[in-house]
Amino acid sequence: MGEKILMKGNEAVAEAAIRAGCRHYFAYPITPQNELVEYMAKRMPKVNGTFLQAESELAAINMVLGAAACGVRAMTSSSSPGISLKQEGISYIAACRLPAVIVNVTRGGPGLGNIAPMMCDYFQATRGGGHGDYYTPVLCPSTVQEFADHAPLAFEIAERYLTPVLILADGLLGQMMEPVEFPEKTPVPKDQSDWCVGPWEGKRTSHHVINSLFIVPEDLEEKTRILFEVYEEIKKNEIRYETYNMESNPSLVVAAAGTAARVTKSAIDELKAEGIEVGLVRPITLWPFPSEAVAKAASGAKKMLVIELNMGQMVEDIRLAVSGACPVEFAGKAGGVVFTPEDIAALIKEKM
Amino acid sequence: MPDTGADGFGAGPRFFSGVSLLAITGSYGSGKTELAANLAMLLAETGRPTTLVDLDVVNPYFRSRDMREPFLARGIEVVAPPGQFSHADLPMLPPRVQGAIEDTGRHVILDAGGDPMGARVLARYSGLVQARGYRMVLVANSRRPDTLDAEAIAAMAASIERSSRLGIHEIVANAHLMEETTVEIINEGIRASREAARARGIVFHTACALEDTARRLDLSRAEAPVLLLKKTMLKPWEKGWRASRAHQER
Repeated sequence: MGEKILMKGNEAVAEAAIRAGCRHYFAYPITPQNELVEYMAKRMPKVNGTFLQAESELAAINMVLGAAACGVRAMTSSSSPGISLKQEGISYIAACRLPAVIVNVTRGGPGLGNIAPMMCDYFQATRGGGHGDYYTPVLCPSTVQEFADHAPLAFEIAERYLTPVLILADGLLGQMMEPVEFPEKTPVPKDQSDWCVGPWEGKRTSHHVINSLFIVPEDLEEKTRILFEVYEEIKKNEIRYETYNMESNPSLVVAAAGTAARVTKSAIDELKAEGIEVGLVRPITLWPFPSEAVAKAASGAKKMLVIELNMGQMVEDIRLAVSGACPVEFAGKAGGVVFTPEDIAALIKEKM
Repeated sequence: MPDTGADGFGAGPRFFSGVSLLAITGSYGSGKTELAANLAMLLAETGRPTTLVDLDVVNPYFRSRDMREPFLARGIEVVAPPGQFSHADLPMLPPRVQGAIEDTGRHVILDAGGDPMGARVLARYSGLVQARGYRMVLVANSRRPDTLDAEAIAAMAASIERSSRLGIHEIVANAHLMEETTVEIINEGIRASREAARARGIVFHTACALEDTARRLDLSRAEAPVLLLKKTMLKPWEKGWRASRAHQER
């Protein structure tokens, strides 16, 4: 570990991606993730990397596809409306089975919305996002350090399963500063002959054909079957979550991710000082979703409260996971308005 | 040693000896806004009519306009894009900025945006600022990636001078890692800032630290006077955040 420095989430994830071996970054600017673009513009030339400000989000994501097909660690980033524009390319990358990392520092929506820290892209992120039958693993950090740590992890998952991986952080995490340190080791690159166009002297006799067009229904069926076999592997190996104060056997458990979880933790600490025990389960991978962990947390609880910075998206996955074991209630805020610990403490008391 | 200033009523007004306009620059995340906010409060406490001008068109969050309420409560004028525009990511400067700079009856603090890019806005007003007379400081946090050592701090000062078309008179050391700040980190910043100031032929006098940090640390070991700052830029999970924004959310 090196010395700690103070960074915005946007800067930290960019630096961590470079340290993870990313030398190809393509993007189009949008608030509140511009520091990520600026950081890459500043740093990439110094590490012999490529920074390219594309003419559009569509161009950027297709450059990522092309770079990934050539076997390099490639990344793009944007914020909500820009990520919508990238969805076609993400679907193509998923279909082509290429590793790539996409960072979404979300803002308020729908539409042009605003630049405030709303977490309203949960459905889009966890349900494939673009057209077709596919998923992307989604990492959801809640501190600047975790945001940075997710960059090498995202490349690792992307290459292990040959899939695009999404890091979903809200604007607050992108903008705020915290001390951060970077691991010295970078993820070991996977044998690129598994996916790279080639040619691969001695390893393969032919080029890989990178393609997502399969006209014969049985061919596409077979490709999709393989894709979903991979998704089962990802579900088996890559589910991540955190629990907080669950050892107190709380009667009420909050489920929250990202910034909402951060605020909830402060509320839980406040309530603990008053003698009220509340637990938290924080999904870190939003897909695959930590359903078993949520079910386990719900099994000892009288009630589950889902807190989101949107009008209720993750609550659907929570209800599926809890499966009626206890009542599930929801509290959300739209527009980029953020709960305070006082708000959440009051809410919890009301629901108990 | 606590920085009490030579004039007896605190270190804040020292920045204003001989001038009534102070421009605060630095890389973003250096602590410009914290210093600007605290100096505005100190001026107001000593009964000086004070205007705080938020010139940050770079940062979308954590700007002085995000916490108008405590300023208004103390009679400090806050100049920033009004109403709905305060949430827009547009390089928008209200006409009152010029009025405030020309209003010599008030003390004025210009809180510039981060980096040479953010400081560029100052160039728009550099003629007026020079005509009035000013002091400009660079706030440097040696734990930020662009100002990690003396050489980088001096380079930052040079490029901010170019983009703002104004001269920097003083470097203020504000090395910190938030709650993880140590005396060693503060001293490391003092040394880097002092060396950068020497290289540029300008003043280094003061370091800054948050009051919370000061309570935790033995600042008698600090190698320069330390100006203690109240923390004003809060995160949503920190106490007092909502109250600091009350004016905006109404």
